[in-house]
Amino acid sequence: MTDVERLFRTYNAALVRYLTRRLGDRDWAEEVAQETFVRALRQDNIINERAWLFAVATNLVRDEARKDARRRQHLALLAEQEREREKEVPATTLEQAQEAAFARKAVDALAERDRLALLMKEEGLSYDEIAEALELSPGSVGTTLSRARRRLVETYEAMQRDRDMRENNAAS
Amino acid sequence: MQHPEEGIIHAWLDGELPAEEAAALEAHAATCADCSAKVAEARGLIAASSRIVSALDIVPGGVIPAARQARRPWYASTQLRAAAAVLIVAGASALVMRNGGKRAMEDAVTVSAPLSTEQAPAAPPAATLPSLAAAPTEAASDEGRDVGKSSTSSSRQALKLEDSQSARKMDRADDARAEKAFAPPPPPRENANALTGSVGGVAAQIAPAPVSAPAPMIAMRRAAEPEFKKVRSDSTGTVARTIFRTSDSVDVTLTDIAPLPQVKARSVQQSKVLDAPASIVVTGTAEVTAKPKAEPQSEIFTITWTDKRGHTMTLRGPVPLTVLEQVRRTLPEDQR
Repeated sequence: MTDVERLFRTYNAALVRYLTRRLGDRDWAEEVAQETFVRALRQDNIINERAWLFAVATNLVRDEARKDARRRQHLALLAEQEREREKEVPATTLEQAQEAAFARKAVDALAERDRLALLMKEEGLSYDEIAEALELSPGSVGTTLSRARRRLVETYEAMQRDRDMRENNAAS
Repeated sequence: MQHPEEGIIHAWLDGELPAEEAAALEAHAATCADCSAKVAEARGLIAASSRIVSALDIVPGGVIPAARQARRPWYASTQLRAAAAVLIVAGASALVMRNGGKRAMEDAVTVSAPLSTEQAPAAPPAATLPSLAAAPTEAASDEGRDVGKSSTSSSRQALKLEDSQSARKMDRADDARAEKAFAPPPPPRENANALTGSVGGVAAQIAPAPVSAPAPMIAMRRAAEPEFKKVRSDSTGTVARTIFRTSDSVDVTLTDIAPLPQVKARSVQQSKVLDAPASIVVTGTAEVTAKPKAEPQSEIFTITWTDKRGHTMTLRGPVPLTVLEQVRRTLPEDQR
């Protein structure tokens, strides 16, 4: 197993999930993830792989960088296998879809840095890793996360209240 | 120690504080009501934001890789999926057997496969959907209520938004069925097509839209959105059997028969049509639950369909057709 394959198998799921949550688009997320692994291949001394990968992926989203088509083909194949293994598509109910829509809006309403920190935390990155990936001071990650979480939950709950009020009005 | 900032509390709960600081904070929070309230709030925020972020994973075109252990729904288990192989959608059509008696049910069994009809003992079902609406500290029953509430509204939307056409179609079909409830049944195939809305090769259109029930069942369906829990599944070669338990502790058996190479799905189906039973009796769930399991069930309904992989799928149980339909809708898409 080559090094890039090992990286891919270890981090792809988390990275794609992070990117999909960030971008709202699975295909786009996979493209960016693959590009990230290609970059990792060209990079020699990666000290903290996970922080490095998340940082590069985050920057790639910003840059919309060009891709290395040849290497991506191989990775696309691996991604396909990965998808085969994970092929479980539970019925998406309208209710779930609405939850997702609210969540999307609430996450989008966050400041970019808060959002990225939160999404990275949800993928299990440590404060140090988040600080490294986002070029924050380690001491400020807790504050960033607490702000992100509070705003996220407050925004989400406000949307729910609005909806409930509309439903009650419609019912009466 | 001074009152810690919110960021420090989050860092502590995230396990990111050095041991010394963590101990100091813990000691302080134990004696300071203000701070212990802040800690409790922070816990709630952390849990709630995790759930909100997880809800992002429901994206158009499927679900992104689930965190391995955690968020995998029971109906997506490996056995259930492994129970299936791939085949072409050849005239996907569903067949509804209305069963008035045990004999007819046995017929159905002989047709589909040699299967045991035993049912597992009763147990309460587990909640299946997390409710983002509920605060993380709220009890499960509250979540259940929230889910129920929003799913009624979702159903309303479903009817309103996209599926009004098919819903009307199904309504008509159901009206027709209700009228004929005590008359000799119509040819089963026609009936089945009405139910699924799919004829000859059109992949099951039974949308996530609620299927309207015959009149007596409507009230029951609105009263409670049942939940189904997979209690057991086993598989022998091409036949896989899974037992689902409804919230009324009634068991419904799913039989998944992969087609044998030499047997065409079509002919299997045809023989079932011939064996279709002769009458329908509609009962509410209350009556069904009142009956102990050991007694023979007088009304056992069966839905049979060919899924997208070409498997002959049969759902059978002492529950109304609508409930069977609801169980069916919880299956992975290619098995529906």
